[in-house]
Amino acid sequence: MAKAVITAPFSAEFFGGREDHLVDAPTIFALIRGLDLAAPGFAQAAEERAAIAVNGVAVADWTTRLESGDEVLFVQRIAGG
Amino acid sequence: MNAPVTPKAFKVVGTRPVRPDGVDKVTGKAIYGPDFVAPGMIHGAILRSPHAHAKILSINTKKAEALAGVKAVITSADFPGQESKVLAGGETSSNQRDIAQICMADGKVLYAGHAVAAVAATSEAIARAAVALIEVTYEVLPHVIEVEEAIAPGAPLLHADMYTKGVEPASDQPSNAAMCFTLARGDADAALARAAITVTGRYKTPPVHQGYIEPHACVASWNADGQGQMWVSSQGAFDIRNTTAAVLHMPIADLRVMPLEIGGGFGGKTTIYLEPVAMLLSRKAGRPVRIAMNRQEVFCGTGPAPGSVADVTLGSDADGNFVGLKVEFWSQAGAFPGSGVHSGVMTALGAYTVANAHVRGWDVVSNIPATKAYRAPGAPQIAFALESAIDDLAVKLGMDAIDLRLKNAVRPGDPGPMRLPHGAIGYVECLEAAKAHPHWSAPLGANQGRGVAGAFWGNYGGPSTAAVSLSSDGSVQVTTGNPDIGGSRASMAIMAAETLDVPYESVRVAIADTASIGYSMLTGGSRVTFATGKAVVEAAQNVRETLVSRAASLFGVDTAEVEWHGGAAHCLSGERKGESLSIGAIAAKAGQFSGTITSEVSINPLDYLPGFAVHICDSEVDPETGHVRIVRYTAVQDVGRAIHLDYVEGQLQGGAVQGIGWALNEAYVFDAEGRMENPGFLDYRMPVASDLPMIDTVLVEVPNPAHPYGVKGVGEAPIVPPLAAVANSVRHATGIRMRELPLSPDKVYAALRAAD
Amino acid sequence: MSKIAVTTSINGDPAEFLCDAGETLLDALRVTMGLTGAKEGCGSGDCGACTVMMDGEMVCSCLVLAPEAEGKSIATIEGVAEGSVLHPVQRKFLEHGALQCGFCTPGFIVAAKALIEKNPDPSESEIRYWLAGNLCRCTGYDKIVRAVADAAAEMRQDQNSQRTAA
Ligand code: FES
Ligand code: FES
Repeated sequence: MAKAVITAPFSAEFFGGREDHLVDAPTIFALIRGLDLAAPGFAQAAEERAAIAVNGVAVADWTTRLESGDEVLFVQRIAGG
Repeated sequence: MNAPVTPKAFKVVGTRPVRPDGVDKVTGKAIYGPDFVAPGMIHGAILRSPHAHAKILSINTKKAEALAGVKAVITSADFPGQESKVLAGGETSSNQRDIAQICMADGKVLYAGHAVAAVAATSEAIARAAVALIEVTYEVLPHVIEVEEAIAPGAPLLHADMYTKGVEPASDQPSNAAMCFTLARGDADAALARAAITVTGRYKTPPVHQGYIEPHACVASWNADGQGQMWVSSQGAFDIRNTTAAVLHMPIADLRVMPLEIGGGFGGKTTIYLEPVAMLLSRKAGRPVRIAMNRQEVFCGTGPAPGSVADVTLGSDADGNFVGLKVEFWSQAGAFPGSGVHSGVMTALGAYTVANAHVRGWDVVSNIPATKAYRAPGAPQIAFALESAIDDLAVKLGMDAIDLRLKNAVRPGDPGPMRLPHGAIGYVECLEAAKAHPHWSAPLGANQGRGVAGAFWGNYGGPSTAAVSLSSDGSVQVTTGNPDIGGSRASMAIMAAETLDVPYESVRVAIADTASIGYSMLTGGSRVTFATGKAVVEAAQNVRETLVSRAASLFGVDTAEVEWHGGAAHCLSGERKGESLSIGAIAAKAGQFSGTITSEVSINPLDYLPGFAVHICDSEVDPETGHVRIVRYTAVQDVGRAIHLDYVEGQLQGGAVQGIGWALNEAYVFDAEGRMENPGFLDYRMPVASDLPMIDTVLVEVPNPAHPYGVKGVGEAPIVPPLAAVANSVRHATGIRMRELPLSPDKVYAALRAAD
Repeated sequence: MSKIAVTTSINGDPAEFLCDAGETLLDALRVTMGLTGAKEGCGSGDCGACTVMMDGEMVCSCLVLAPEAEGKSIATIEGVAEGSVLHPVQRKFLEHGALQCGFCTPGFIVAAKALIEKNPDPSESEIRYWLAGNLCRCTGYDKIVRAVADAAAEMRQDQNSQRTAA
């Protein structure tokens, strides 16, 4: 089981404010697919607006393997100039 | 691929070689956006709205079309229909429909200067004359400029279908507040109620322009078969291509964008304004079309940075430990949403540990040009408020302003604003360097004051492609897709030369067009030396590995028996032990192997680290006139590791001076009709050489372990501290806390008189 | 409207061009003559990117009418180097990293060269005031001021050694 931590604004938009979700998923792809089943539209929002970190390290590649106990954090992607 | 903790001596990294594109730029040969000429091209001009907010009832282009020499006229009716669709482009996504409507108003104009129609003609004079013949009937609507008015009940609405995102419960009333974003931890209200000392205030900053000296220009050629080309200076040819293709519903590969030299961008050249207009005119006219803006069009038609209003309350215990922080701010996004609210919120939580915080930002539209990123977008405005409040707190505590910051500064392992723990950051090192700098303890003269301010900026990584190829003589070609806006060709050459252990001069760097290399995200987010640099180093490492393996074959030994240094392979064993083969000798033998040695690398690194800066400013306030003069300035920054010292220092100096302009003089001024009153460099006053002292720099190097040479982005952080550093110095000189920028002589004079 | 024929000299070479009465010298140089080294940053005399010399005087070519060039001698950034040998000001700009985007650079170099010719030993504040009509948004001016001071110092030394040699 990996732990997904969904922060604002995604938590409010898709999960009624709930942040922590345990999902059985071998990759970030699978994890997001699982979350999208529970909250349709989340996958698209994640693709467009989220930054993702596994155990505190930002990752871009959704094929990244997840181990049991990994914490996958979803936060708002931030702008630069 | 980790940066060594104790750096080995570098040969080229950290030096100051002449940039490869230098001679072209000091002799006037370099071709910038407005310099490009295509054979047979004709000239475009744009009609812009005189009204800040109006419905377009009709547009009559007949007279313009009838003018001799006019080849094409377009309005929004010539644009394909746009759906509301998020485009992944820069670090944030933008809405395709909004971008199209910034290029050409559709149904409504939302700011004075909004494009309404365009003409292409055989000369620029005819095009401008034709524009004047276009008849537009407007129904003028009430307009709104300031954010406080835009969110007041009954304010004129810019977009009837806009509902505030991110509020609970969801709003059922349309609003000018596009979005709200909150980060919260602990209980800020309770902590502030218990705090031994609190400071509070409302801070305001006006919209300011990026102020690049090169106005926007573009040449486009779009053929009947659907394929097109554009020659344009921008911060990223690939994103310009993708966005233009999306707006015009073209297959992306049908559009090729040739990057020209760019005369400054600072975030303002990350989007499109003229490009689809020139494309549509070109297709209609059957000729290449050039459109160039004048300075007034740049001010009124392209993105300034948002203005802001921010309420800050900061509390500490009696020893100065921050216990609670509350920030609420409203960002003046302009005609369309998307004004760096997220990074503003992050800025409030980036540099200090505070257990209880509530930070909320609102993205508010109003009838000024759609704002655009400006160097650390969203951050300077919030840092102005926060770092001023910290200064007030230091005064109340009777504590040294740097010591107070040191006490609360984030350290590696502390949670970052988005909860990710901070990596190898160097804020403490910056504060210590500032404190140790002779500037901090130098005596001050009469009417002078000293201010300090710190900064956090997130930086970025993202997708980059780079190629390294060897010529048959062993000289090295590096190719990237990132426009060189401040010396990045030199940094890329340095990193390739260091990796291959060859002389800097044997490496040449080209910026490829969009058909000639894979995608790179734009030049922005302080990302190029980090991300594109990482791609260059990886490609150079691949080349070096190939060189070693080919040398091993030529020596007849195992690759483990070949050592690479000094730009040559050295044989460590066997018959040819002690012999060496130079890079050129190996490259010349490509025919005996699988071909030329080339490596193209595409990566998407996100292991960047944030930048931290501390600026010290001395100013002198003229008690008779209220004029503020900067007399000494020092910029300290954690740069990870400086690749080219001059261009790193230059980023710190340039960012500091832009921030000084923001603090002292720059502001959009609107008249009662909502028109900008100062759309020229005479009345929109940017700093000139005689306004300034030397800008001293201190490069603190806490390497980023995720970059082969330790690079952290450096371009944006230096614009974050100056607003507060200047205001804090004025507070020190006068005892007056000024919370509204710019600190222009009239405002300072009025404050001095009020305090008398 | 008929065009005006202008006979002038540009960077020491005789030149002729046709222009409209209201055309700027900057447009004549950039568009008609193809000399795009001088830039237009504002078109109103406020940025100095278009700086050229006219009969030895520094002018904003966006404020000069093209017909005014009649009989005058014009010097632009394209004529600052002697053949392919860079002028000391150009070399010092490169050595000091005094340009980032480089768009303001032609104007600064023409102006700095004019300063040193008038005042071979300018102080920091003389350099800053002389260059106050040239905007640079990238560099914060620090390295530009250093490059100009260094170029002046080198040119003084060259002159001295020439004098001693003579
Ligand atoms: S273009 Fe002539 S001064 Fe700016
Ligand atoms: S180097 Fe860019 S404006 Fe001066």
